[in-house]
Amino acid sequence: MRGRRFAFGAAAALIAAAIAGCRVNRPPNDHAATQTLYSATVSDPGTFNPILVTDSASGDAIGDLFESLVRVNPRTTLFEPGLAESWAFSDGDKTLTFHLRRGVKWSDGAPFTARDALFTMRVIYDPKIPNSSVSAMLIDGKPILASAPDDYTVVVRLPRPFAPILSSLQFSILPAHALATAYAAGRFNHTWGIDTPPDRLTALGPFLMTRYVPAQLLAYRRNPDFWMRDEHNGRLPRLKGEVRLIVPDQNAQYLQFQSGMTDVYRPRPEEVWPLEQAESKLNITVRKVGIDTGSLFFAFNRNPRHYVRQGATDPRYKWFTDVNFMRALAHAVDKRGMIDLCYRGLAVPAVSDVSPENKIYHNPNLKDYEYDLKLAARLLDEAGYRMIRPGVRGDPDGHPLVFNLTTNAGVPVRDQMCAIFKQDLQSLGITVNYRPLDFITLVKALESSFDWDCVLIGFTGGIEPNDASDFLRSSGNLHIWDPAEPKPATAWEAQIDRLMEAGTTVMDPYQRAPYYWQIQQILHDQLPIIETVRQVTYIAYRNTLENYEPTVWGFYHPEWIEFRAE
Amino acid sequence: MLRFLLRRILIMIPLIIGITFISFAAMSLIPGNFVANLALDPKISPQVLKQMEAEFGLDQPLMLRYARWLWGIAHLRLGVSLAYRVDVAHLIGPRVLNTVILALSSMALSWALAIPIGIVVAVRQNSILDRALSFLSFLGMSVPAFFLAFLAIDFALWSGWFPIGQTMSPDYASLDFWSRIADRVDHLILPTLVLGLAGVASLMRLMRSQILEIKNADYVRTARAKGLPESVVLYKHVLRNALNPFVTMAGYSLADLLGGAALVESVMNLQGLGLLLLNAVMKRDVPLVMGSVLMGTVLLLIGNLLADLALVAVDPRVDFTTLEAQ
Amino acid sequence: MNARAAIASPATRNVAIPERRGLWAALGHEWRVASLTVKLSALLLLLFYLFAAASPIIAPYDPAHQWRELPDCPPMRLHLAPRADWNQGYLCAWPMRLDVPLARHYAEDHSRRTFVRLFDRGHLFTTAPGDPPFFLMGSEGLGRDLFSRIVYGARVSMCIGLVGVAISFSLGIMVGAFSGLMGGMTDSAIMRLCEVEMSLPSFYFLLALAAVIPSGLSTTATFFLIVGIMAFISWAGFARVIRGMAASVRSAPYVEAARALGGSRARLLFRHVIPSVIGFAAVNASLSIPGYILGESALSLLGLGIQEPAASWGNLLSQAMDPQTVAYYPWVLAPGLFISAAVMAFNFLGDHLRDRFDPSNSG
Repeated sequence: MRGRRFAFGAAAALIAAAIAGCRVNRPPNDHAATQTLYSATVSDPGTFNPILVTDSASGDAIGDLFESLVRVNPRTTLFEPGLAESWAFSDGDKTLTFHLRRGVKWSDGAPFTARDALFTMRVIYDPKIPNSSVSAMLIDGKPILASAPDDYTVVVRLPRPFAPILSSLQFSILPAHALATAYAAGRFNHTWGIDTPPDRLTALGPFLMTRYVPAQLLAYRRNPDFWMRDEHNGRLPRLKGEVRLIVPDQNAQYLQFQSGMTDVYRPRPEEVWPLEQAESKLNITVRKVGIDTGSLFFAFNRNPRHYVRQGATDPRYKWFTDVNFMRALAHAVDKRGMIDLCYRGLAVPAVSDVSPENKIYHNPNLKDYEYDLKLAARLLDEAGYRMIRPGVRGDPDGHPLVFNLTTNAGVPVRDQMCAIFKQDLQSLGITVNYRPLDFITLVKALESSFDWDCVLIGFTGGIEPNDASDFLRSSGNLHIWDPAEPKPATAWEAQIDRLMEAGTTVMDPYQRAPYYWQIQQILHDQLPIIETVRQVTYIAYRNTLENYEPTVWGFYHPEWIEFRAE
Repeated sequence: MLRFLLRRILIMIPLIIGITFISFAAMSLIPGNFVANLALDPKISPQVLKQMEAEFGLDQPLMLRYARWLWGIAHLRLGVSLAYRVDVAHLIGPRVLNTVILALSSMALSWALAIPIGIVVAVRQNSILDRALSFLSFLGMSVPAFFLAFLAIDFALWSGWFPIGQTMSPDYASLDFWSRIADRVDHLILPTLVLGLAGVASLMRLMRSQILEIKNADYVRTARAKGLPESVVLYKHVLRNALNPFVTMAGYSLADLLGGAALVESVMNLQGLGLLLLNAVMKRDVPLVMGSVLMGTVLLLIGNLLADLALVAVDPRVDFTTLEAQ
Repeated sequence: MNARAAIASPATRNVAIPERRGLWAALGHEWRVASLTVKLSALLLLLFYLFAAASPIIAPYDPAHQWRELPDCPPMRLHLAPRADWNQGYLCAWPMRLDVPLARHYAEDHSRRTFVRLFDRGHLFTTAPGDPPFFLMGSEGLGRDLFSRIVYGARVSMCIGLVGVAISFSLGIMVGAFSGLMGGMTDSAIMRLCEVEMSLPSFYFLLALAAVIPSGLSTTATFFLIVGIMAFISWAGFARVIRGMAASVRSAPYVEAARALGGSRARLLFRHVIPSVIGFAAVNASLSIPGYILGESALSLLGLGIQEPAASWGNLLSQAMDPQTVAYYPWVLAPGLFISAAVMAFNFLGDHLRDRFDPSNSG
């Protein structure tokens, strides 16, 4: 049979190819010898221009290339000198003077001066350049005025004392000499795109980019002129280089870490245990980093635009604005179950919209709503939501309790959390129709069609509490349960508005905190949103890495990281 | 034949315009545009979003946007991606070569395996070999390709024989020319196996059924009756006639392979088009999606045209008059 | 009529239509002549459709019920109960206890038994309401009984393949065969239409669709919508293949002759062209069933598929498909076995039917 010979030929060719594959030498793991840290990231950057960055992948890709005037100490969550050596408030906290570090050089040799800072601010305020820094730099809608009396002094004048100002000024400083021409020619929005050769990026951070291969990797080398020194006046950073592989799939990242291709890995909850078991075999350390800084919650639509149609009000409007109803629901969220089932126990119940990792602004005194379905049923009964048929509960007017639940599609953990919530409400006689939506469709529902009842959604969190003002203020666009209210719909929303306003006028963080604690208390009592849980994150890294100190707010002293000489 | 070719090529132009217009219009049916990606970022104000909409021209009417895009295509400009702010050609370019190489190599593998195996099992219908291979192929069909990809990289980790994903080593830039080629080939083996094997099962079953169908056709019996040796009958009469549907399938499978392997690409990190385009659709990056729709369409039309030509060459019963008779 | 019969295509010449007998007698005859593989396949499919039709009876539990203290629980071993306990049930199992929650390691709890009761409270088998559950095939990540979910999942998965294939292939065959038979401008126009259909990014239309489906739509309605869409998306490629084959038959002597005798187009189509491609089409159709069963789960990414807490085999499988799960909880791959079994059964049966009704094999 000729056919058979054919098949055998093909099989033989296949085996030959496989053998040829084994004979290509795998490069040995020489990360320690070359002091090059290998890690993985999930997606390609969208731009190398720090002012145009709107996604986390781009922010990560160029994060080590640029610096801002001030830095945050991730341990204390307080500000530290960056490119500015020191700063001082004067004129009743309305003037802020920065003294810039001398001797800092851009990678093309040009000195860093006050001109760079002023140029960057001009770019940020330019209405033709859409960026994410500008909204934090408008105080009551007014811009900050900056001037430079000399090359190493920047004076910033504020319309009024504004506590979040240092946080607002955390933008990356651009090299004026390298970008001024493009900016003047109106080409700024297309400057330093990802097609720019990395060596043409004029930077001054600890690392310089050397190579970008789309969908494969980003490579960096140490900036030999970086300004920081260690305690023995040695040069920093200590690593000679970094390589970040672009690996979209988490499972692949996990396997690559196990194989030694990468030196660090952030395991998912279900991977923590197997990695801990393999600590000695793989010569790695698995360490807890901290509690997620964001907030993941069920929000309930209280927007009259969604419910009032042709003069008739949908009954759901009454339920979701009825605090007794919402308290019953809060007692029906099985946070322990979510922690154990969705996060393998590696999560903590979330009580407030501010993470406990935000040490100053987190209100530690809130008492969580205990998961108790009997209590929830009693609360509903007392509030007039009684069983009208077996398995069906109705509101005081007799409408059966039915609403829609959504979240963004394709996230298994959220599917599971919704399934848990749905099942518990089912046992209370409340029917939940669950259907996730793709992200943009969901966004459109949330912010323009308002056609949703309940959503499980997460927001990222930062240290500065005023960054959440678009979410907390009644006029905010991200005031998710009723965006952009013309005037506060309720007394407690008006109260939050006042507290947000007052919170920006007190300069000392510890004196500011009570304002934000009170806001958390109000949200906790009024329940426009029901908080769920926060993941506890872990990191695994090679034992040969020294000074590797990750926190949820970033690395503590990342410039000190190095491989131990062996 | 020349007339046939000319007509088919000419008709491509209105086809491409029609297809791209429908795709473009379909996008306006989907709620939300690119800037909605940023709408939940508290640092980006609605004013900035409005500015971006204006900058990208997303606030303009559909017809105008389409006309602009078409005008760009007429000048061989694919437009600027919204998410990456660079020319679409720059994004698609580096990935096209990878994808085409992988698509061709895996197609070659699956055809090279499926056709001979299909013949063998058809000739030995109902033998143990036939049953065993049928069983294997049905098992293979019930496993999604991306899971095969997981198993493959798991195997690579376990055996250490193959690289775990990626299309090149991190030190690729420092290698000499031959090592680079070896490095690429080395990284190509597992993905080729995964994508190729995923396609073998059903192709092989189809081949088997085709051969069985034709093995006993009248003209084959006639050939046998003439006393021709079985192998000649098999290759000259059976195989040539059996290939008909496969030729048509080959015509459009390249276009399919180009965009259809996003999950495998994601798992094995293959630097291909599939994942880029999947993300582009999810993000509503219109120019990037349209660039790929255009590319896919052209590939499909050319593939189908070539398939029709090949059909005439392979199947003795089909000629241009059959395909295009007036 | 006689003349036509004489030159009828080989495919129609002696289709094995048995002399008129009762339906049951005919089926009985078919059963006797079938091989063991075919019998097994038929029985398997029958069983799966029974799953679908009688899920509430066959499934021991509500497929959405969560035993939150028993996530990813392994399958339990069934024992014969001690004689003294036969009043509670003849079969029993040791309940499972979560030993190491982080690792999800389980140990059998030998301090008590859970009795499996047959024909109890409208279930084929189940446990008493307060008792620990008996997981025949283990539980999944939320502690739901995997076997019950598989049984209920059969409703979706056993239908989606068959209905989807029926729609797309009948459309594909009709259009393709007609186009190939006609040739010329008609053929050209239909083929260009197919090309338009094939090059449209279906993903886009699905996204648009996901956005317009009202959020309160029931699972069943969503399901039929999905089947319809999936079928509609995939007919064009198939039509092209059939058209190429039809074009090849078109010039065959028997078709030419039938045409010369003035056979109507419909007659040519149904008597000559379609029979000549039906064998290939049948195999192709049974081969595309797994694509539907698996493809349905991908739609969940867009919020279009079967949604929590409803189950389908495709969804159950795709939730299980990561190396982590496979290494530690291999039983969650059980839906994959069911898919494979169904795929095999469909294909062996498809092969058999083709062989039975393909005249060229009967000689």
